[in-house]
Amino acid sequence: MTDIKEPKRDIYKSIKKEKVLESLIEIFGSVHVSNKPHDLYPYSYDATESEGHMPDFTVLPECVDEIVQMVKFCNEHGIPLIPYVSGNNVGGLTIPEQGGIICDMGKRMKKVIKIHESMMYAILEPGVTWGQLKNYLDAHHPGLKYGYTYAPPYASVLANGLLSGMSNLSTSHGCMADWVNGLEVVLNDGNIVRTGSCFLSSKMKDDNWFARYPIPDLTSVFLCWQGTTGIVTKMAVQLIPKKNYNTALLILVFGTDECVELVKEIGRTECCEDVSAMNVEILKMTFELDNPPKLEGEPDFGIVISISGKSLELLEAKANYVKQVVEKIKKKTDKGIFLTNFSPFVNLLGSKFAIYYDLPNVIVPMFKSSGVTWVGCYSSTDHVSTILDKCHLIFKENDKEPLMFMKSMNNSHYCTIMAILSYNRNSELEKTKKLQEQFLNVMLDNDAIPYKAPIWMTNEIRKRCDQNWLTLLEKVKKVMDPHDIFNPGRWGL
Amino acid sequence: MTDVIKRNIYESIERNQIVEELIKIFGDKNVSDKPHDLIPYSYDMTESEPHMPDFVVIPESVDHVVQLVKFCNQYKIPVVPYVSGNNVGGLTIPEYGGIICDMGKRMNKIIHIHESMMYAIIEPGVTFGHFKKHLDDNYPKLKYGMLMAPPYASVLANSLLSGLSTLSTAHGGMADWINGLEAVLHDGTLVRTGSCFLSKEMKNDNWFSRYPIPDLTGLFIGWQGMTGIVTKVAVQLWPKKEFNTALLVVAYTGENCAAVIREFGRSECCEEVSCITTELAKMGFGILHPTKLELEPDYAIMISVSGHTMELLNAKVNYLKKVLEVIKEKAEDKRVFMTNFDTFVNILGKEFGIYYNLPNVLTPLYEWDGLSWVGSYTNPDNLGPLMDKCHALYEKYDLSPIIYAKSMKGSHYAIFRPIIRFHKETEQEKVKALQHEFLEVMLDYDCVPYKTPRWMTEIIRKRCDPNWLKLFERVKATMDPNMIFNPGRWGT
Repeated sequence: MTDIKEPKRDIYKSIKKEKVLESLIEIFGSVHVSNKPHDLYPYSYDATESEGHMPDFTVLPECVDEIVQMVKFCNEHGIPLIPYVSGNNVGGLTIPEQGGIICDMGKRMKKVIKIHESMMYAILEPGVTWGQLKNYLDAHHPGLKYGYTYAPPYASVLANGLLSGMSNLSTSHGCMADWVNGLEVVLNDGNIVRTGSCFLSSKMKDDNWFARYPIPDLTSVFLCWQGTTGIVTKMAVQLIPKKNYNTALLILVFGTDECVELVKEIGRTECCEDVSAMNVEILKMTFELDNPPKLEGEPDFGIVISISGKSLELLEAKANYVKQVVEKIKKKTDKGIFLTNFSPFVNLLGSKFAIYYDLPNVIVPMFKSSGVTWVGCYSSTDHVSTILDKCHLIFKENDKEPLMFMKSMNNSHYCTIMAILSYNRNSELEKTKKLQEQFLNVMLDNDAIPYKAPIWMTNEIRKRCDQNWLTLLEKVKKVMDPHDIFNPGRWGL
Repeated sequence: MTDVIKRNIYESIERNQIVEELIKIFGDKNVSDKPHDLIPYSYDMTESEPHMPDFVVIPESVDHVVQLVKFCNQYKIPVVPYVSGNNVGGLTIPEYGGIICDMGKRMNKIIHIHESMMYAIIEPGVTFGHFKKHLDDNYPKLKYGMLMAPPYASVLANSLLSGLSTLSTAHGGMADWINGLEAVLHDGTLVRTGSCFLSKEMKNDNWFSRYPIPDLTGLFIGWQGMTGIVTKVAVQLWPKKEFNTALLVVAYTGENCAAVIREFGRSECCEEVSCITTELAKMGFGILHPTKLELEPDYAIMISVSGHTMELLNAKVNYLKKVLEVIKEKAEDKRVFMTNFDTFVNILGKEFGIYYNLPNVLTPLYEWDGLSWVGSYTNPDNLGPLMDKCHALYEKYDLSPIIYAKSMKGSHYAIFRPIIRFHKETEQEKVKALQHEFLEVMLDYDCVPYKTPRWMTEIIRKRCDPNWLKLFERVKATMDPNMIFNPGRWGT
């Protein structure tokens, strides 16, 4: 059993625990409230190295009105409230640092409220998962799609949108925050606010959530704030037209610089939906090898590229241009670069290999140990070679197989880079913490910005960043949450 | 001469003292309180009510702006950020007097072009013309979106107000391209937002992204200068493609025009899909009073397509031809025709090329002293009825219909903008009435106006989510407790 610490703040000075329980039961009904350790325990930790803390209660809301009542109650008594969806968070983002109530919206608030086929957006409740959205679109709106992630299909679309995650459409369309058209949020005083173009009606409608701008951008007050400014209860996300013709390419490449240049230049072509690179050790995990080593003579990285076209002619023209770009880079180096269609690999090696472009999906060996964690960053592509080489060295020095991932974002305006650790929580926790610190330092030294950052990372960022940015962050937090009830502790707030 | 309304800002400080203080900061050449210097800042081309500022200052550096803001905050003096004098919607008219901070004259450096990460860090005074020339001369492989506006318009101001450009069908509104910014807050602190926050001192090479940190950039986007003075912005640039073509579609009904805008935008094959009424198209020839003749189409839709290779360009054009066929098949009115734009330019003269040679000035639009519009983000589905209803309103007021529309971000939304040019002296009241009628029609169709003048925001305030207003005011009070930044906007 993981070592779980008691919450840090005494929240029961002004109201007794029993009273809290009574009030919660009044709002949610007794079936949807618990203070029993066996119910609370799963909310107290995640797969990462983040320190565990127990919540005091968990509640399962069914509607926005219940959340409004709860927020008003928590605000009155200064009780911490942590929004929670799928239990799949990485970075300890919903670990109740100071105890309080877990508001688990993953169980009963999971409606796809509206798909606006013509304006290409979906209004979703927090509990809607990737798998659910994908199935729903495939069944009812086959002309539309959303980007999917290397994450289990039970992860929350809304949470990933708010945290600006990445998907298999991020090379062409940017990060998930770029696709948010608007939100509905419960504020500290229980007011429900709608942001984005949907603000222009006194009552909620479902056909006016088409844009985030051009009005004063209040959506920003909730994006990447890790639930510290309000509880988001609805989100409108952009959908993308599905194309009839699709192909995937695979490049096997020797050399870090070569890999990074390929990712950057192919991303810049505006021909690809996804350009992702991973080292060969991750590729091999497809065969469900636990700790696949790279053998001598094997390439260092595999780059997976998705291309789509509305017509076959367009698809071919795009693929041909990508090939030209690869050829150009090939000519500049004596290291091996091999480009092929992905499908022969899948035919040869089995359909499991298709996992890399059949998302959402789980790379099973990654989750075989009790712990999995990473330092994931947005980064300047110019610095990625250095980051990859340095992290590679850290993996090797610590006798770990290097698991690294990189993706071109928004047509290579930037990229994401991840160093991933699969580890045994019982025996390797301390070692993992040290490794993570080393990864973080390498990344920060190279201007990479961690996403979904746990508290220990944000503590380090706070020391390095523009101090006036911090002052403004704290000012906004204070006005949005004067009683410090929303997910306290994140970003040192 | 324009009417003048002032707020008494001299309760806590004498006018002379203000002049002295401003001269101390900016030097006497860069401060004025003389009416002939101030009048140009008191009005714009629209129907917005003019107001005189009390002073104008011309800062040269961020430090100047910091000192100014600290001073204004101490004495609660309004300060209005201003760049190129080209604003539409009265956005920099000093509603309550105060100081115009004109950053267009001396804060116009292109600080850095990051070729590999494709962004530019620029000061407020950098104009579209300046920016285009700098890129063409020094970074021929990169471009920024240009707009149907004079080349002396400010890139920074247009980004903060989320304007539209020649790349907006492909890449969205200009707010979507902001990687980060530097702003002077009410207490004079200087904050950097976006990925560039991750260094104690300003650097040039870490402005590559807006996320994934808490989004403080949004506190300045769409806010019309109400939350701070933005002194730098980093904007995304795009790879220039070698092969380019422009197409022209003509349509006879609002419905067909809307279908072309929506479906071509959705094809992900076009950099731009923009529509203008025939009357506006004819202004391309410099015709002052263009009329649409019988049997002429109502709408011209201009489409820019580009490709890294000829094969890609051809594939895109071929796909668009297929899309047009499908539209035609479904349409009641089959008169939808597409041709190469060059053909038109060759036949009709290179003046017609103005529509894809931006930034540029369509001179007949600026023929009189008045120019105004209701510009909005809208659902492309509603473009048909919007076109028809606004056409009828133009007719009611005996004016030629001048309408502009554009597919935005792969047709996730669209722009709809009826335009009016007018004589201020004689037509001001008529234009106000027509603008109100346009706005009512557009709000009924869920259009969200951009670059909104005060009278529009007053109407919006009555219709919108009251809790949005409360949050808006809460954020405004936090960012500007003494109400110094561009007071009056959005009813503040």
